[in-house]
Amino acid sequence: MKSIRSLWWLGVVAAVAACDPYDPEVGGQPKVLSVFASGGNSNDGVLAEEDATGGGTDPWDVTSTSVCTAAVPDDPATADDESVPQRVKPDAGVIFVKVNKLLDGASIQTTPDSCVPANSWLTVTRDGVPDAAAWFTCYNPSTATSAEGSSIVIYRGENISPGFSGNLWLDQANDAGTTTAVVDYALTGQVKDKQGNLVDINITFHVEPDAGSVGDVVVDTTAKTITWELAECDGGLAATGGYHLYKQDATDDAPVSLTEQPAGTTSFTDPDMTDTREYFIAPIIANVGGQPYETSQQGPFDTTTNPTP
Amino acid sequence: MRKKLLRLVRIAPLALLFAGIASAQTTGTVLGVVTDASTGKPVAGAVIIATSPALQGEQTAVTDANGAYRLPLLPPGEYKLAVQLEGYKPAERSDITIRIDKTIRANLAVVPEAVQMEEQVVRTGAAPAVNIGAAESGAVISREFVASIPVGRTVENVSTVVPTASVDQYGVGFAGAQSPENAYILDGMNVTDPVYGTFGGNTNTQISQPSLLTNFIQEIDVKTGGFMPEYGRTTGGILNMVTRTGSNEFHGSVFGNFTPRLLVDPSGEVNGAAGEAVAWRSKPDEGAYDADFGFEVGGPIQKDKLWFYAGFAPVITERRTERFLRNNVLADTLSPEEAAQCVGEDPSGYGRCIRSDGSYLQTTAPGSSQIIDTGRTTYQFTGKLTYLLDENNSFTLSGFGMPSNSSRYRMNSAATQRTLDTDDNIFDVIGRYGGKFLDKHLIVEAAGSWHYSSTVDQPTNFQRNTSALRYSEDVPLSAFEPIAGCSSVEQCPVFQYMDGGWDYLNDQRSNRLAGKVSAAYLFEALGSHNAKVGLDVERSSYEIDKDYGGNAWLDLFPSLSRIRAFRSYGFINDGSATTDSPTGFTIVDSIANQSNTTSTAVYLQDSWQLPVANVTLNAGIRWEGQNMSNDTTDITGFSIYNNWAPRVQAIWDFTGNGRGKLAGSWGRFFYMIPLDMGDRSFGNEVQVRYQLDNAVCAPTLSEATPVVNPTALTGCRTYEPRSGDLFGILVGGATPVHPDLQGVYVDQFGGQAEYEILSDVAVGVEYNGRRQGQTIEDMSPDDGNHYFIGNPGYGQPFTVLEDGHSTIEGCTQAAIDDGRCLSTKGVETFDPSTGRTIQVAFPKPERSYDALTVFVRKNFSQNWQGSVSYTYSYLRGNLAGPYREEDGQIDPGITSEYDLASLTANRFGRLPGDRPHQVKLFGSYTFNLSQRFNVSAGAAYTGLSGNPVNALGAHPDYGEGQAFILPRGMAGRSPFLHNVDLRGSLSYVIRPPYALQFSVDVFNILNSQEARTTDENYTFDAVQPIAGINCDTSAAHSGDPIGQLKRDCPDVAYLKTVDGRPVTVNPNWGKAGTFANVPNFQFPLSLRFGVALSF
Repeated sequence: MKSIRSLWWLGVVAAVAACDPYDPEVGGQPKVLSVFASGGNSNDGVLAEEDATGGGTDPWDVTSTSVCTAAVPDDPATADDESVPQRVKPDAGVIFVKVNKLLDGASIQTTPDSCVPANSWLTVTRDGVPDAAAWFTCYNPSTATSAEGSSIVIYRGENISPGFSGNLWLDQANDAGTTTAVVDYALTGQVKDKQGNLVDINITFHVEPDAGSVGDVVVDTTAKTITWELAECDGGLAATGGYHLYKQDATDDAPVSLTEQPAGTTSFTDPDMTDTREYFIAPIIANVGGQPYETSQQGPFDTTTNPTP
Repeated sequence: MRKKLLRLVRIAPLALLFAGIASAQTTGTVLGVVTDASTGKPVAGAVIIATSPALQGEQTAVTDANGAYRLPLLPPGEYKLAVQLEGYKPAERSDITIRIDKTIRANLAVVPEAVQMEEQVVRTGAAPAVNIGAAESGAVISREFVASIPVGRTVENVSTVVPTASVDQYGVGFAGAQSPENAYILDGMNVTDPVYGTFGGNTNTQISQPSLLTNFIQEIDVKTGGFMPEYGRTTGGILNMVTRTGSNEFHGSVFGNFTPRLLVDPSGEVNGAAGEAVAWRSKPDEGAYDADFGFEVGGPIQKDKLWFYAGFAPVITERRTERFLRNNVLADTLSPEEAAQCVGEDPSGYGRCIRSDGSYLQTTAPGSSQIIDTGRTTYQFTGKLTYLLDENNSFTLSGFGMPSNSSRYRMNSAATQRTLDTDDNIFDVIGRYGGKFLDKHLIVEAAGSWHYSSTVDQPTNFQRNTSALRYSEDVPLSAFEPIAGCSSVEQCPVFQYMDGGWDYLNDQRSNRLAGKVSAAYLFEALGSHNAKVGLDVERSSYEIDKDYGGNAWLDLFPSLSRIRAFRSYGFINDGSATTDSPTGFTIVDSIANQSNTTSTAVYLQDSWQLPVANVTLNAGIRWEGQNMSNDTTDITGFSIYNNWAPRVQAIWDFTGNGRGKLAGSWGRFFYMIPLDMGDRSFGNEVQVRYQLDNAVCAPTLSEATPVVNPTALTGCRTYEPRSGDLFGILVGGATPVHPDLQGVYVDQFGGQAEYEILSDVAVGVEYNGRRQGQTIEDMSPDDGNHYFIGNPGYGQPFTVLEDGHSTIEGCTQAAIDDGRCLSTKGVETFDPSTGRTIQVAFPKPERSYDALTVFVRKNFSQNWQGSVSYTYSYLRGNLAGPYREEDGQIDPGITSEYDLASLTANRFGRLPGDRPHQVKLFGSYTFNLSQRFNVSAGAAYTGLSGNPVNALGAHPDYGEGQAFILPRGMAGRSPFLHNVDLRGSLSYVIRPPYALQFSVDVFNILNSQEARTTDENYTFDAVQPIAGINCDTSAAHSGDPIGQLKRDCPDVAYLKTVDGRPVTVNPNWGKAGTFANVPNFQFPLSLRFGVALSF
């Protein structure tokens, strides 16, 4: 009979253990794990380098390259005004603040369907002065890895709410950068976790400039020349400090530096040109913080395909 | 002296004990000791004669010097034992019931001739009801039980009466395991479907292939756990069935059972997603019925030598389902009557009225009713020859078949694909030999079998040649079919409406040749031993031709003007394009594969009855090996040869007289991977996903006019992958396998305490525990584009060689650099929401089942029988078993469970099948009104907790049901199910042996129609899990499931799609499911009338 009693106790213990098979939610003080910026939701999307060392009094520091699209003037032949201004959009313009636990969504966005910052909790300055553009903050409780909790998603653009027909948050067409200088944003504010604990958000977001695409690249193996048109956002050549040419090395896939060409130059002769080599061109902005600033490599260009990036 | 002797004689039956194990799987054994009632000492030389209607001739044994005897290989049935010994009065007992695969102990006492007694033959009484010889759990379901209790007509139906049994999507699971983990054994041989592990091979059917009618079955031994090493290839339970045999007299029956559904409950609960236009409900009064009628007869061809048995019965299920259309009542066009019911608008912004109970206010469109006929007809036949060469050698040859045809419906679809016909077939032939040697101390058995099954879809030409089109957005039904009163998507939306041809079609056949041989030897060594050794080999093959109607199953997104091929077979080519295929890949009409597997098992076991303390120790070990290959691709998939399964049991008869026991057991059980993997993972299956150029293929596709002409898509093969469009290859075939792959196993352990408080009445308590060990699953290093097979969470990294399939252990730097180094412990993948690289660990499989059952059992005697059980259990973990309950995917070993690394979070929790409370009550009483008349009344009650409910989201490529938004099973439960059934029967003996029986069963007399399934798709948008949340809620099946969920789990309200939109919530979430393959509600009240003439 003692054995039977033991079995009953075993059952009682099992019953109690069965009540809740789930781990309790993370308690304690919320902690920002990392901050990064993204520009695409696929594995070929552009990512800004993740900062996992910020916090405390140091702001989380994130830098993104950018891409400039040239202005499209109005076509007088049509009645509609179809002019599009020049835009400099960060390659990774959506900032993700990863925290270790779930937060209070109501402290981040005004309603579950609107990413307007709740109680204007976010303050943004652009190069030290308040940014006039609209910034939105979304609470995203989901995560792709259980090693992290939720995220605060911050972006400059349009509010994505039900019925929104424009691009989604990772495709937001915003105008956060310039063709001539790095733009520094400071994002500060406080949100709460579900227990009411405050989370300090202190981020510096740098958007590097871009001169736009070089156009109509021609690689001529007969003349052994490569020619191109000026970068489309160069601001009338004044902003562009020249072009840095790269060439795919014979033994290594990585392009190696070939030459730098001064502003206004749109051709280069390579006596060693063969039709198996590829070329890359990086416009250089003349003076960013007192130094020449080389934008992203464009290419590859070769004798068969010369895409305009 | 006389008093003392009589007391001894009365005590003698108390020594009739169930003991030992290790008998054949189709027969039973009786053993015992004969003693002198006057002295209590054993007597040698006594002749024990066993006779039974189930036995050819008689079986005899002579007691040895210790008075012991043994009679093995006895077919199940009622037996009489007689004892003859010179100088003693003859003794006999006729209460011996031999059960399959059980050994009972029948000790007998004989009285010297010199003793004066009133009776000249010593007769003894009832036998103990406690099985003190084994610690396995489960029950033998007798013919008396089936005859008097309201249960279903087939073996699988009947097995649900056993504690811990629970119906799932593909059958009946036991003790937390899924039904495809079971082993189905008929006449000692495996009849489990080799492709999926179910009973029938067609897993797409709506009306499953019925298992054998109970008329053809002598006995059903349901083993729910703790069985010894002679049983294997299962991590679930065992349905051990023995077909009936002939006898020395002609016996048989003609029977018929008819369930005219029209008599009661003219229509069932309404199925259909909340707020959508298409709805349906069962409409029995349109001619639905279930019927089976047939005969079975057995008798002698040569008395005591050769018997025959044959049976035949068509089993017919006719279903009538009414499909009708509904219009939503919009809040801005309300009549006063409607206004009174409209308490709010739906959250999707359509302005649809919602009632106070959360349901949508809808009106039936006039003239939209349509009756859909579906059903299944199966022709069951069985036959058996039993030949007794001599007392020590017997042969049996048995077979059964069940050709069948069925049709199934799809409701949320166009008329062109409303129904599909399928032909199924199952056929088994089994031969068996049993022999006794060495003065019946050595028992040898040998058996061979052939199993065949097939499933062939029979689509119309249109269904085969036209692509299925699925509209994966809300579209107005009026665009597809006339619906009175609808002019907008707000009024009559349909989601995932199917148009065009049929999607997946297949033609499959499987075969299995099996052989087994065993030898059991009885000897004495510090007690009695029954040692058994056996070899068991199975070779199975599987051929399949499969395709998609029109070569592709297409998904349409009208608002995006987007058409994509969701499913299509093809292969990567050399970069060329053809008129039918775009650059880079070639579309194929169909895929054909043939795969094989060989499973070998060797076991050794012993049942040792210790000479002291009434203790029996059972121990043994089983080794299993399995390999699998594909002939079409000539790929060897895997070879596993180290499945060692030790099992031990200890039983203590604490009463010393067979009326009670304490027992414990532990064992390891391995799962045999079915051949579905051989086709899908080692064949040539390559799925291509692509975007169609809608400008060419769907010129009318737009949000306003969503309809495309499906026939126009036939031959439309101008695929134009555009920037940003989906174009992918899902490589399922030639899947790499970890070179050190280990078998899937489950450890089981348990304890039992049972005591017979009255004659034939036993009470007890039983604990059962199961723990999942390693499992085999396919994993993906790139969120579902390529796969590899291994043991998730275990094993060292390995390298895939250049051929893309072969693998070696360990990784070089080069293999790491070019992505050929894979790990079963985790992957580096990308986050589809941010594009960021993340590290994701593949969790070790977990499945823990713990159950405590208390029970009272009364065997049939004194005109009545009963069984009461209550089980409290819990089942939790991250792996439910061979199939995914969430979407019904049955691909054992290659489900999507580990495919999507970015959706790994939240998989641990309450598993499907976690039903904490299970109450089962059964009873019957027979009134003997006269010599010729008797009336029997039976009743059954089953109470079952609901299933855990999930909140699921979709994956961008895999589609719905893949992301666990909340931890598994956290979103509530489906309703508690009550079911009360009654049975009454009247028997009239016309003239012995002719008897006529009429019976009436009333199933679900309370007419409970609670939801059995739940729509778990919280959204059809691609989302990610909310990791770390704990908001245990009862939202599902509440009045307002979505609102309740958001209140209890506020984070859910902020859920975003992977690309940043607020999700579109499925308004049907948490309500009854809308599945076509399983009943969404309890079957309504029904009557079954039976008649049988037996002789």
